[in-house]
Amino acid sequence: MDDMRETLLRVEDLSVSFEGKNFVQAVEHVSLEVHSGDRLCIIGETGSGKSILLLAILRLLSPTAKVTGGVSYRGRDLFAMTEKQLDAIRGGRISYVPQGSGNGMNPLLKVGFQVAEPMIAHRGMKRKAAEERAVELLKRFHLGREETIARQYPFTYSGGMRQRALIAMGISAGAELLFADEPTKGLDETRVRLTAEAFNALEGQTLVCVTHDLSFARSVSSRVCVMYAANQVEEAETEELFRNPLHPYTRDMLAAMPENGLRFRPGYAPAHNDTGTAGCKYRLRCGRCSEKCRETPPLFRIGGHQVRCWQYE
Amino acid sequence: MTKLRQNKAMLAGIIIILFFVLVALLADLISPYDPSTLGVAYQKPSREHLLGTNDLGQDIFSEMIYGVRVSLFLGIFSALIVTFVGSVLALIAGYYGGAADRIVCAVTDIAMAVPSLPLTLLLIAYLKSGVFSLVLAISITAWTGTARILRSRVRQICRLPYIQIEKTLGVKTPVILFRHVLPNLKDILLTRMALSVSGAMMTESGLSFLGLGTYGQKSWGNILHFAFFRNSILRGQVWWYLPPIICICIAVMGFMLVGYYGQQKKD
Amino acid sequence: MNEAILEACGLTKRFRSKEEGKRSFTAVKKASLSLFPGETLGLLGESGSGKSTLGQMLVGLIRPDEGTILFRGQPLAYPFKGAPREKIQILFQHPEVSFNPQLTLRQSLSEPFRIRGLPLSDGVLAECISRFGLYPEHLERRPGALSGGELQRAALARILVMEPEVILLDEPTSMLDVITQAQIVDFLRRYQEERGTSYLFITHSTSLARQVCHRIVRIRAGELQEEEKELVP
Repeated sequence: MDDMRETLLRVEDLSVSFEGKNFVQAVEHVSLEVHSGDRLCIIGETGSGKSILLLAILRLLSPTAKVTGGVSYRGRDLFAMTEKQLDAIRGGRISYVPQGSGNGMNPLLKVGFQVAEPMIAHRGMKRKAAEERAVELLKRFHLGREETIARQYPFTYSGGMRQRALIAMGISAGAELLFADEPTKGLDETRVRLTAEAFNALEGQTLVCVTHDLSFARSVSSRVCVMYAANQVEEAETEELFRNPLHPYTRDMLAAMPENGLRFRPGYAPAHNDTGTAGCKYRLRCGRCSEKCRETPPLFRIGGHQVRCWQYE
Repeated sequence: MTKLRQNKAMLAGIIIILFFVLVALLADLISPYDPSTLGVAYQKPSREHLLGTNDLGQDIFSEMIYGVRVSLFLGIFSALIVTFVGSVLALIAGYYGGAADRIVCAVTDIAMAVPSLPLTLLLIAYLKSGVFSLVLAISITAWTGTARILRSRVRQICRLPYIQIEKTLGVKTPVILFRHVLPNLKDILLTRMALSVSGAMMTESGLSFLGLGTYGQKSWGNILHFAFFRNSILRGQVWWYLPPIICICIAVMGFMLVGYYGQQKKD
Repeated sequence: MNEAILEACGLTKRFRSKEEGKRSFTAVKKASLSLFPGETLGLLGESGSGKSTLGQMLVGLIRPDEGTILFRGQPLAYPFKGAPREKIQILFQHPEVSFNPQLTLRQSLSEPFRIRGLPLSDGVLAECISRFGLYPEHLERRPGALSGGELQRAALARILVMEPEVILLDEPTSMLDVITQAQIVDFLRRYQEERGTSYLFITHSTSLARQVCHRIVRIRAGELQEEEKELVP
């Protein structure tokens, strides 16, 4: 694909495993490319490795994780950087909105100040100016009564409000790359919609978002990467993927959405430590597998899709 | 065990506690003399008497060794009572909530507001002297902290779905409390228990120092009491007043290490 | 139509609110509803609308301030005892906290068998979970070593041992991926056809409610709205 836009993030052949008593292969050979202005959603079920992938990219995993492969941000190798260099990028240029709206905020500081803090720390803004800007940001996310609530503490916020305030905090320093981990987990329909609107309000913002909510992914992303059992199984433009899913897993997943009638194929994802399932991980559940599926398929490129399935050889 | 090794502070605490427990168990074998045998008074430390002798000519080293028994026993026994009372009240308050909770909280607040030292002294003065009244006096106000902390934890646990499901399954209340709530408190129980032991040992040594401790049975505080009131400090008999102070400090520290760092081992 | 299996008449629940002065906060206002045998009634509402509070009153976990609950026409006293206690069960939203973390799946699953005095053996337990795609080796694991989907299926297996007549499903799939959601919904549907169990399905998802429920009632700020007929085919 010829793309004139800058490549911000390149993930090459990233694998993550946890060794020890229980060996776990959390992420297997994932390659991604995020261009400036892209909105990439990584979707998959719990345990598919999507959150671990995000943490691995940001080097936020504990030292017990074994990470191989490479990640570069604007051509600079993130894995080769010192903690100090990395800290200058994380928070300033790249920001991360963690999973669970409860723990992302300091309960003892006013929300307005917390949203302003990255601007003070990374852009050298004066506290007053930064706090005024924080109110503006909160307004963009339609939190309601922004001037008042900026002076309140996180506990007075509902889960949905906290989630949106966290996103405001994430972008306040003008990070060009925003990572979000399950921003809609535990939120109801209306609040999911508000969160989606908050993301969509960020025009031109480059976004990498992990979610298990397909409708949400559809409403905020421009590209979707589907993960299944530690593998990247399909990647395509959002509308294309939803209209014309290629990988059997993507198809089954879309068919199982309530809007599409909750149809499903029996079977469950293999356990993390299951090394017995060689080859395609979806082999045991897939309706149309052949002998060839005993070998792991590579990513085939077909009509704007990248798909890990032998059918498209 | 690997977790233990990572947590050096807790390991140190456990080693200290084990050491004193071992000394207490083997007191008869280790101690060179019977601490109640009389001999030549006020001897300096020598090969025969490692820490010299006291005003009655009893071997101080042997006294110290037997003192472990009394101090540890009082500390652990009081801590058991404190933890038991505290956790029963916490379970009742946290599980039932409502009026039961309000009553337990009120009683706890009142007990916390009572100045504990005067009350303890008063109790000692009224009760027949003996180990059990000492335990009672030590425990009478010490349970409040445990009850408070456990109560809020029990409340948290009882709001969790798995306790709610037990309720809808029709599991009997005692079963829920002792099989489902209590085991999930074991970390916090252990740490509270360890801190209670150290608190009780401090109170006991304080009381014994004032001469309100166990007569006849020698605890560390008791030894300190006699050392002080026979003017060992003026006479410069370091070997008499210093060992009990050091032992109390180390033992209390051992339990505190387990208490404070025991909670951190989870992460 | 036959008689309702579970009926709520004017249920009200107030909570003392600590933040906003001393005023109490009414979570559920005079809610009345009837659940008929073999049907799935959807209770649709946003978070904070009082849907979970209403649900917990109906299964006897919260004592209502006002109103009565009738089970097979008989008023229920709090706490529930006997048949109503056995026959009204609940499945929660968060599978990871639906099991005592100290116990293995075997220990947790044995409990309902013991309560009902049913014979308990490895075979019985294996059969109990095999319908949900779980294997005997799962029995020896603690909740920490199982995934959300596995735990939720096990939680369902566990309450079905009671052979409930009413199951309150409190957002049972909102934490799960779409395929597991479809599998659980499908299982519930087949179980209902077989046994005539009634479900009260609490959810915030209109699209899911539309697929799953026979009737849908919306709840807003603690008040039940008119039944929404147009949502259900």
